[in-house]
Amino acid sequence: MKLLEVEKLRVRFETADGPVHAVNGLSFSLEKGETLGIVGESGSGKSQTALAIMGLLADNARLRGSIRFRGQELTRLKRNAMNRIRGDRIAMIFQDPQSSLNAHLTIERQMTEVLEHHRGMPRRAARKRAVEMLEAVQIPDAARRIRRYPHEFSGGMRQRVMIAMALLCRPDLLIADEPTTALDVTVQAQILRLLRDLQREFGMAILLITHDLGVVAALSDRVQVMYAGRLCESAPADVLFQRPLHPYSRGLLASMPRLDGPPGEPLRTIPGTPPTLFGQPSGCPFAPRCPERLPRCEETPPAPLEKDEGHRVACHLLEEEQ
Amino acid sequence: MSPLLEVRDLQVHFRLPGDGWPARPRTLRAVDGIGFALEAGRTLGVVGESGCGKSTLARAILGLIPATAGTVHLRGEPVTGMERKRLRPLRRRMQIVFQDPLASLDPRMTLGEIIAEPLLALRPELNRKERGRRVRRIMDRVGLASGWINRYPHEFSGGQCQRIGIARALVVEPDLLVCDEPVSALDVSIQAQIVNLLMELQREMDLAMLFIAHDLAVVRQISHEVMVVYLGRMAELGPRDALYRAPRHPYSRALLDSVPFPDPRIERARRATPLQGEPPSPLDPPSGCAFHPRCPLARPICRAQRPPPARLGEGRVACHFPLGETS
Repeated sequence: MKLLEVEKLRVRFETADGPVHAVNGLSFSLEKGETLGIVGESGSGKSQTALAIMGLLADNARLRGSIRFRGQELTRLKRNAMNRIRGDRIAMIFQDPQSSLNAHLTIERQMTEVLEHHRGMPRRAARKRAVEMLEAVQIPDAARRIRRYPHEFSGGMRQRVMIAMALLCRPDLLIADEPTTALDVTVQAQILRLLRDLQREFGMAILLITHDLGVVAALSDRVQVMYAGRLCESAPADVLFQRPLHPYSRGLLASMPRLDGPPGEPLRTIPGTPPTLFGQPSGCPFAPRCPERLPRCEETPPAPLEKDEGHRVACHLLEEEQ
Repeated sequence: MSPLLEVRDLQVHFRLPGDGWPARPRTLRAVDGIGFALEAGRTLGVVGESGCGKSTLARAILGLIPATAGTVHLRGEPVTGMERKRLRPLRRRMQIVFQDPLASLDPRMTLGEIIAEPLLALRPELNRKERGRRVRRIMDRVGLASGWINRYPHEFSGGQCQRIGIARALVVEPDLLVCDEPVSALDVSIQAQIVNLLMELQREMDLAMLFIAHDLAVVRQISHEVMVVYLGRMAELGPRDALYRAPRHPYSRALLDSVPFPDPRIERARRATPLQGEPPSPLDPPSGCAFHPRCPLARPICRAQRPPPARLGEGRVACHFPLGETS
């Protein structure tokens, strides 16, 4: 059994300006202990996919399709049942730790609460576990600093506290939404290393959501590229970075300046701008910006095709070749 | 002839109310002794982590905030220590592009009004027709359709708003363009468009550019020379290729080693331990070399004495024990 199976997921928001189609028929799965990187630009639907899995979509959202976690359908769960899974079996960390830490409570109170709620642990045992977890994320002097408030930690240390809190119940799945985007590059390197070490130690699967292709390369076993709420391409990380097939994946990789690229030369660009999500395009959402579009691309959206084992691409160009 | 932009030992300190009782005001040294020269047609990239004083440096160079000490000269004319009114003729020769494109545009003004505003303020002698001609010319040049001239900022995407910001800065044909994180709020595919545009415009207009960013790959792409800043101080300044190939300051080395590479094979092979700790507070800078508490090579002298910037190879380095050329 897969750890997570998402099938034909659709997320639509009803807004005053009309419906916004954030996720449009997305299917993917995740194995135990695996790290899947989801890459995309703004409006690609990557964050809404994560929130849908967590059951945390905004009130004006309409969700369709299926999300199965360890065989259990999450989309039909009652609020209480979902609350038991969230924070226990599935945990999430965000770009901004402020948003998930309570400024009015000490780190100790926030961490022990999680263990009391999910595990019924007595306070003393919970405190011991919390200190151990802070040590696991390399917070020096954890036994003393656990009594402090979030604002008394630096940005990188707060990120570590949030990670420690997410891992308290040893979740099967950690969803990390832009976990290092707000950090300085030297601190980002520390957190990436930490996430890799923690995964080795605890064996959880990670769903990593980011716009940064370097961060994806640093952590992911598999990579999934999204555009306008749809899958473009999904492949083992090595394959995706070395032989990307979808014109959007290729464009994205080529437009990123690299430390080993030719400096001073113009960068490859993708013309145009990401689509608005009002209304649904009749064809492939990337067609208006695609340098290789065929007449068909503007008429019917391409379905994901398995090119090689584990390499799925949604592009009419590649249907042609088969 | 004096260089287009010359900055000498620039310092910008802020007085902050203290805490405790009796409260003693504290001094935040945002820029703490930075100097360089920049010529027309050249780009100096400034890199450093948050709070290192990059943005304060930009504003002080433009005379938008007063310098505490040191000097800034534009083609030999002083920017520092000038009254606001006397700065005015200099303003049309130096312009800035900000990070958040939408926030830096007045939502109640049309695109045409936004771009014409600097002309009204700084080139009042131009008549209406000439103003319109210049606005349309720069719009065309930065890739804004002339049919958009009566639209409002909220109708545009982030990349387009940044084009508006660039058009507004360049419509007065400045000599110096300061870009403060101009692409960090943009999507990757749009970022490349803006970086290319800035490089083209620089060549065409022979602009001197100060390009401030935290993204080392973007800075490498666009700069001729690069300055690494740590806690308001210059750590290293050198030609781009030399600095990226063989950085001399241990902090520059650590920064470069921290950048994740878009290649999983390289990332898997990564062994070096990341730099420990986080940048200290500019309210309470460490003694001696500001980097010494995090520096893997620090020795007693680093704690005791602040290293002055010294010429080394093709650049300058402020370090007691600079790395060799083959590091």
